[in-house]
Amino acid sequence: MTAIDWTVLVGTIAFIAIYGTWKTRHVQTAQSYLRGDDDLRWPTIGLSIMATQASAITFLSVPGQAYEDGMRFVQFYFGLPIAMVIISAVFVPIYYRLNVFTAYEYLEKRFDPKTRVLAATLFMIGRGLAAGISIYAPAIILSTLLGWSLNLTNLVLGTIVIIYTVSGGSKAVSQTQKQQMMVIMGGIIVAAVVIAYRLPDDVTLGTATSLAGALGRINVVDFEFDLNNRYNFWSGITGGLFLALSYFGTDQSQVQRYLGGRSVAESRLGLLFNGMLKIPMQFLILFIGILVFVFFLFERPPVFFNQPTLDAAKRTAHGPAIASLEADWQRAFEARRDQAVALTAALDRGDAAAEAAAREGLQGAHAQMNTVRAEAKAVIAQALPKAELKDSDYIFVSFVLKYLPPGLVGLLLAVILSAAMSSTASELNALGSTSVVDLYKRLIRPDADDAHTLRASKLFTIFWGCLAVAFATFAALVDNLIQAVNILGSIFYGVILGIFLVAFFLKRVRGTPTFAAAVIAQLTVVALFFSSDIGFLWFNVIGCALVVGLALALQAVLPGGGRTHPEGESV
Amino acid sequence: MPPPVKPAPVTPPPPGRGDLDAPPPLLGRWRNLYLLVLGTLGALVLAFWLFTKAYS
Repeated sequence: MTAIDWTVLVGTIAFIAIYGTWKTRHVQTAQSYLRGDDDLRWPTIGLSIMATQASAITFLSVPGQAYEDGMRFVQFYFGLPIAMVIISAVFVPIYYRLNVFTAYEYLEKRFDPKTRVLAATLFMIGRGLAAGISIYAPAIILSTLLGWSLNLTNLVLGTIVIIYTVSGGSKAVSQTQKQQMMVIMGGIIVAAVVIAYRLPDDVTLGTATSLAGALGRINVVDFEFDLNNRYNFWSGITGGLFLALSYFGTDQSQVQRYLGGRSVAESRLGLLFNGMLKIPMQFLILFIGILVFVFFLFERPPVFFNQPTLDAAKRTAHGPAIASLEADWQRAFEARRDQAVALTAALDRGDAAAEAAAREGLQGAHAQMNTVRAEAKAVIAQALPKAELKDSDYIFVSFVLKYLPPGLVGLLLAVILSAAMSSTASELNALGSTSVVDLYKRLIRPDADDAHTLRASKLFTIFWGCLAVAFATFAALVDNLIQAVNILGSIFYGVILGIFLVAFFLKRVRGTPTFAAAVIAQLTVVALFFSSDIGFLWFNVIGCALVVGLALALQAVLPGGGRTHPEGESV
Repeated sequence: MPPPVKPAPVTPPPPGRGDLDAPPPLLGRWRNLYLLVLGTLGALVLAFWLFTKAYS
């Protein structure tokens, strides 16, 4: 990192944090802290929603996922626009009419206190763990590659977020997210342009796409129905829809973003803005991974992208074996590069026969590289039995550090840290709000006045922030960070969504049957997670369907169960 | 046993939060805006499918 990079990085992060703190220095009431002043316009809401979802993991994992697996991950988001329409049409008007501070508050009005507390608790378990991963994910990778202390990185990241979230609450989160999202979007576009510019002169964008396609990376849409395939059109449009409905419609870290809107119209427009832009944005991030993949067809990539781990393995008795494999890797790379050059030339000439031959040669050479890479990983596993072998999360940031010019390295690291801070801030803000509104003020201090509620909200936010930093400090690196967050979400979200769908659409189902159905469904989903190979997106559908089906069945056999609060309403 | 204390609202609820049925600033009706979002999704899926067919 050069001095310019440090200036850009520290300057960007400091400006956003100070701006957020200064802009919201007059927040002095609980209402202002928990929901802003109900004055947000749709661009701020839309950017805030996008920034909440776009964690650092998005920028660390997604390009690496495209590099390894192609672009099919974009299908995960196909259900999102449909969810935005449903939430705008159904959820938002009800939340506004009942004037709630949290999504779970509505459940007490519709059902009873225990269902509200159950949903709030499920949210806090899932989101509390995810907040730790949101800090840990960038910290582990940045600390490894830059030689920073992991604990210090966790602590600095967590402390900055806690300071501005506690000082300005929901409004500070939304204000800073607007700036963060601008940095993120600018950084993505600059990265795409610079990577395209770094490709060889005769490799146009079209040629680069053809090269990636020849190696199976342009697999954006797959209409084949397969329950065990994590990413295809059907899992995206159904499981992705349920996940997005649950996440944006019932997860307080998102609900809080649009509850602070100036009007229903502003909240709806913010949600629809996200529905229009999210898929193109994810496509662009995945395409950046594709461009990095094509770049490494012409420039030798490391045999293992986690360089510190590779270096550590070389220092063991397995060093000579790794050196030998690196020589094989060099030969395999040269063979693949020659085939990539041949395919580029054939594409340029429009020579179909030469193109077919070069395509076949490229695929064979690529398979050989994969074999050597697998062997290298096996040797690393022998050398360092505890080492994490999945290195895809290191691909993009390794590329940034080695091949981007000074200044842009700082900008891209600012993008990653901005994304980490934006999602973590929303999570802490929502966890603090839910703890106070749905548990503390509901069960422990119902008579608390405004000043006490404000103080408690700030203290709970600090508590969750410290817990997230502690979790981040002690967490072990999981298989794939973005998948870990999505799997964690899918385990809880389906059940929470089921509770809300019963509340919204099944007027005759009461509290006790819904509560019992939710408990049974949650236990079933957890059991399935540990005992089956079902793709995780389907847990959203299963959890939700179980709650709805069981609630209907239990209502039939327990006709007197629960009550429906007169203030509650369904569609 | 004393009766349970009814929790005080976080702040006194304001009289309302604006016009719940206000039309969108463009396209006249919310339904039209929803159709625009869903139409964009359809167009993106079609474009991605053609992209996949062209380069796979």
